Amino acid sequence: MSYRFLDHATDAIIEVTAKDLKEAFSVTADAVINLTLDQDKVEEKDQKEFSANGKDLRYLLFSWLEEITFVLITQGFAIKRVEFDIEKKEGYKIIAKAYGEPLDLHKHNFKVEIKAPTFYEMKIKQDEGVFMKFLLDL
Amino acid sequence: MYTRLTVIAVFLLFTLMMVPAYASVTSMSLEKNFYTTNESFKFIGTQDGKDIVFIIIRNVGGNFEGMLSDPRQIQGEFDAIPRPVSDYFKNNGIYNATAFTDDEKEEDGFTIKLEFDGYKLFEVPDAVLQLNVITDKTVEVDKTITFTVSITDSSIENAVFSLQNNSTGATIDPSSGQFVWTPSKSYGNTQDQKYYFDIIVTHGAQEDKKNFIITVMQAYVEPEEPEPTPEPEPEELEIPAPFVDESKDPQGYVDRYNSEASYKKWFDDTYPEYDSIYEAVGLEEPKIKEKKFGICGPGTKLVDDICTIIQKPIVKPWWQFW
Repeated sequence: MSYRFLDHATDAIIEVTAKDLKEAFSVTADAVINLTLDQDKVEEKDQKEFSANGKDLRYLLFSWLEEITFVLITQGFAIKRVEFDIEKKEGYKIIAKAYGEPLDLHKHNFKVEIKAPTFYEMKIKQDEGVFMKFLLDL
Repeated sequence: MYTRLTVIAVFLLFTLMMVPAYASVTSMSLEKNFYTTNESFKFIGTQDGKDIVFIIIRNVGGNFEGMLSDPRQIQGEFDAIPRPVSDYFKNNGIYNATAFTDDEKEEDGFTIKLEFDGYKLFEVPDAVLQLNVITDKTVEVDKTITFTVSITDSSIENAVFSLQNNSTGATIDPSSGQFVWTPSKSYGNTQDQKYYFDIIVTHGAQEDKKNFIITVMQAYVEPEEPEPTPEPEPEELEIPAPFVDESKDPQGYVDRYNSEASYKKWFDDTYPEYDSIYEAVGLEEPKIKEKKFGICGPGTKLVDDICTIIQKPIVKPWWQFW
């Protein structure tokens, strides 16, 4: 499992590879958190619950990216790790719990505010593993 | 002398070395006057450097409500990423938004107050926007009247002045508040004419209004209607007339009038104001019984101006002669 940032002048393009869907979403969360701050400087002192949902995997990924950004930026909660489950009924739904502490810009080395996720260049492939690619507007 | 200058120079150099050169936020405001719950709000502002700017929103209790930033590092300004109002403001009340650069601490930042009333988010002004009293003015037609309106708190910058419901052609400079009006002839009248003006000043979500009157002085004189010549009072007739010698019998004048044509003409021409010679001499004019005109019907005849039935002689039947 891994993620990598592709070169882009103004936005962030991220590619994720994982063995399954849950791992892919977990890696995605780490990528977004590390794009925003230094995840390893966050201590687990508090927790926040949040959820994401979508009619298909693309919408689920978009919602997931939005919610993590919301917790990080709007709620000012630095995330150390996320626990979650993916449910599939009519669509997809993720119930998640983030562990971390209130954001401290200096302590956590806040880097950049993610403006919004986009559907532009978004790709999700499920073969033997899962490949996801998405662009974040910075 | 040189020693003193050297000391000063060393002191200044030391000061420059000791004072850290970091950027700080110098101003911040909401980009719009207000935002509704279904809109995204945006902060704009200035900084004296070129740094990442963070904005932290806290409620009055100091609890963190949200964060925004501008990571672009543009010289002299910042422009936070717009975010939905509903994500940050859930409870009605006052909030503090503090902007600070990456070099600063939050407590050293620039703070503004925001208010969320459940529907709108707007900036709470530090100062109250209020226009100074505008006194009523007078002006003559075709003359220009000009004056500058002002606000009570001169520390408020970028207030915008405007005229409301103005159809007179008067103008006001939006930034300086200079009012100018030259009433044309059509605004003049035959008496002083009052015109009502409303001046509005706005600053952000604040607004104040003052009204005043400009009186355009009488421009024309109403043409005077000629006063109607009063009817001469009828002079009271002098009775008897001046020519009458009251020691004489007035009937003599009447007789002379009736008998002498030249006297009659003299009297009629000289004293037309008298109805008759009788009036002139102070005698009552005898009533003339005018004859009635008409034809009496059959069997009647006019007797003393009355149609009277003619009495026919009674003829006895022949047997009565027996």
